[in-house]
Amino acid sequence: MSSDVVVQSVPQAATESPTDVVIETRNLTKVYRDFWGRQKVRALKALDLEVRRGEIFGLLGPNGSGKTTTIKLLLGLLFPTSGRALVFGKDATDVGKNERIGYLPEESYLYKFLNAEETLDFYARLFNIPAAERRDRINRLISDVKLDWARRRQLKEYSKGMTRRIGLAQALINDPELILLDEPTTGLDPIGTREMKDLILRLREEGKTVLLCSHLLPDIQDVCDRIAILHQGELKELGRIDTLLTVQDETQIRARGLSAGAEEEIRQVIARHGGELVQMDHPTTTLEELFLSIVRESEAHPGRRAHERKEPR
Amino acid sequence: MEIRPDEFLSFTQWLGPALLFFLIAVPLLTFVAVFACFVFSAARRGPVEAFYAVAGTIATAIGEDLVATSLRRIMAIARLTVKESIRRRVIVGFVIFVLIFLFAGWFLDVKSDDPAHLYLSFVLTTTGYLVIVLGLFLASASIPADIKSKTIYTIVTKPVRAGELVVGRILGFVAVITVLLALMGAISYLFVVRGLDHEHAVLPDSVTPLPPRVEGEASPGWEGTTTMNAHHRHTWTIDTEGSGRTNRLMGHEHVVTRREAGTGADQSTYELGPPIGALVARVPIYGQLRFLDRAGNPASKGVSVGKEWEYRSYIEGRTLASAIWTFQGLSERDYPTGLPLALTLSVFRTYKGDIVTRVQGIVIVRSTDPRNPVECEPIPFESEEFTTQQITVPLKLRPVGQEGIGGGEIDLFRDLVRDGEVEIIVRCDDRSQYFGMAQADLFIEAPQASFVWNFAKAYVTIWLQMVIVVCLSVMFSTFLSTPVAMLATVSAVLLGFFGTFVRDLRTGDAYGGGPVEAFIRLVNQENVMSPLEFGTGEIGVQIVKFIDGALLLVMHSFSAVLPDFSGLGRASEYVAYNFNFYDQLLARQCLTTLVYVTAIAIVGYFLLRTRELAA
Repeated sequence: MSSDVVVQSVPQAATESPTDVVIETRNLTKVYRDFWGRQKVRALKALDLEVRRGEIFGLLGPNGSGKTTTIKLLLGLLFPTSGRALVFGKDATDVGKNERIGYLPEESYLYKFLNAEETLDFYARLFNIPAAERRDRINRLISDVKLDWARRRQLKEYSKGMTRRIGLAQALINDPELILLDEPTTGLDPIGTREMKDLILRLREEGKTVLLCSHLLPDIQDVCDRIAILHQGELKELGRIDTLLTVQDETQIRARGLSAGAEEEIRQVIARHGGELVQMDHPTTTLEELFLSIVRESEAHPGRRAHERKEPR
Repeated sequence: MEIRPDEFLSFTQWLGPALLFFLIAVPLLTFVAVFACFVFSAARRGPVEAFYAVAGTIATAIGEDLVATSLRRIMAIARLTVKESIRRRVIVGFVIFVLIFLFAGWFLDVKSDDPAHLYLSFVLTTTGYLVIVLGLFLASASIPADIKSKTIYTIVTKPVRAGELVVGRILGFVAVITVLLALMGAISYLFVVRGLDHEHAVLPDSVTPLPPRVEGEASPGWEGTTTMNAHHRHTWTIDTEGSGRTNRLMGHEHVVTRREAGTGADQSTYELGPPIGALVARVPIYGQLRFLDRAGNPASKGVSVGKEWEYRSYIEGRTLASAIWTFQGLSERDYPTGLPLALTLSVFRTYKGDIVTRVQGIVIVRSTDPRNPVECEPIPFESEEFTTQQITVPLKLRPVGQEGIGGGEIDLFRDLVRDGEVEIIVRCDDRSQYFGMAQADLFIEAPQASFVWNFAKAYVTIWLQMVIVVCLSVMFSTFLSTPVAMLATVSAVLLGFFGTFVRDLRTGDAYGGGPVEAFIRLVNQENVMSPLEFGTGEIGVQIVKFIDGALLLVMHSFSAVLPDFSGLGRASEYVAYNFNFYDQLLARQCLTTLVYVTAIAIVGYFLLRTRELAA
């Protein structure tokens, strides 16, 4: 795969050509129905998204907001009620696209009676990989996720973190271009979380596209280029994470060398007191604050897109 | 043993009509299935979208999934299935099998007249049921378990086609159970052979010279009895040449040999060999049966003597009424000592008759040459009821009505058998007594086939049944939970098993009526023969009959396209009765099973593909 375009930096969204759109959803809607066809839950409402090649895209939202539904729709595990989900320009229910994607489910749903090697061997055989390369990849991935010492132990003896790591190895067995990670850091200790984040960033350096969903805000903030915030099945916020976390209508000033008396006046006239202006920009909020404010606003005004401003897309 | 008329058909005779049925049934069922999918889809999304959905699904199935199907992925899933089965302790089923066999000896009737039949039917039924239950439990659990534990998410998000998943699963289970079945077959074989094996010794005091045939001649040999072993005791004779046999008892006999120990014959010791004749594969050659009525005119069947079971029809004694079997493919090479006939007759008496002698009959062999219908002098026999009697037609016969010419003999194969074809005529020779017969009641015993291969054929048909059960279970489990899938499979098997019964209920050949009528009869404790009474008048009965008619139509339609499980169980009966199971019939069953397996796998593919796995 070509990594020349994207290795150096975060892609400049505005200049991307349409062929670099890896995931596209148009008016994607999912309604869960019961056996009789009666509507139970409207899990996803008219979602429009685009994920471009080489970026790390985060889906953020509280439990039940439609994150996992979106991922399942993109994988063809669910069929849309209306609208379309396209992966690599093909319909999400097309099996052929699976050659180029890797998926780490919410929990690692693996066969507990297999050991690490057998697990990876089984999944590798589902792809068209020559036998020699298959062995190489299995060995490399096992050492990548640091499971060398437990490669012959059955997965039922694995701890949660170990299961998570073998699950990730399984998702990467086909050297995918697009990786979908559902709650990648749940159940991992702080060190494991750090390693997982490093790995995700390394994947971007290799030119891969990552879509991850999580309700763990620090994870999203640390790794994602762009995020979409979902709440109750609706898209509330979408944009580059650095833009979103910038508070536009406020100004932040950091000054040095002012006397205590001058500090009192500075609120009225900064410039006239001749203090050295160290920094003057818009303050950033934490993702946690942004997230909570969006959720609060969404609950107060259901159906409206959060914040009036249009972020650059 | 009763043989069904369709079992006489050769593979080529059967293929034509079967192919016709296939060519009608498959497009019809496909159309019904596609239409049903369309209606189902249209109810949710409207007709236009439904049309595109159905057409798109079929197009993808053929255009993409079929083309992209990979043996490597199928084998990967099959291997996984094998591992899963082993780790889910499939061995438990095998342990049950061994336990049953360890204690079977306690329950098998050791004094049975036909222990070979008892042993064979026991091992074949046990393995048959056990293997089918094993297949049912294993195969209907796999896909629902994957969906429940969501492991299927990690599989279907790889480039795995639904068809590969279905076929891989089927192959895996079939592989596991095939190995178990092979082991069970080997153990069963040893169990039967060892169970029937026994030894006798000669009681030394019992040995006496045979009385001479003609007064004054030397004794033709010796006779004696054996020790009591395995609950029976033989008598035996041996000639002066030293070749001898015991009598046939409990389905077997022994060879008697003489060991010269001293100078005189009375110094000799006698030894008995192992039991022979208990485990054989008799090869019956059946003929085409037609009847002549009492005036000698052709008739489609004989007369009915009022028996409910219409399997046999009857001919009247001392009239021209005859049962004529036409045999084909006979050659002198196969029968160097004459034609061994096996005859099973039912006798119907209109009066008690002579209480000492049985009802008499005659066998006539006649050439089928229309210009020169030579026939031999009647060979008389006494009918033995309820058993199969052996009559050997000798090679040299006397012609009838031509005593003057040449005065002599005619040769069975030179003068009577023409192009391998000959007629055997059976008549009853006692006035106002009747013989009853069906096509399978007279056959020529061709040289025996290998018992081991025959035994193996019974296991092949058990294997075929298991394969169908596994396929059905996997297919149903693609859209049903494990218990429901098991129930659906069992229902399909039962409906397939009782397909002929359902058909007979519809045509009125079987009594008792449909489900509603049967239920009413059960509650009211009525027998099946009396007219149904329900409600106050005729109208209640009419309603019941109407509902039953509809239900039976549905059941019959289903059973017509379901695998004929009772037919697949037939090989076990053949083997248990020591008959060779026709290779042609086995070939028919293999081909039919292959068609079913393919069809079920295709249905399973569509069901799994159109299923929302994460819902």
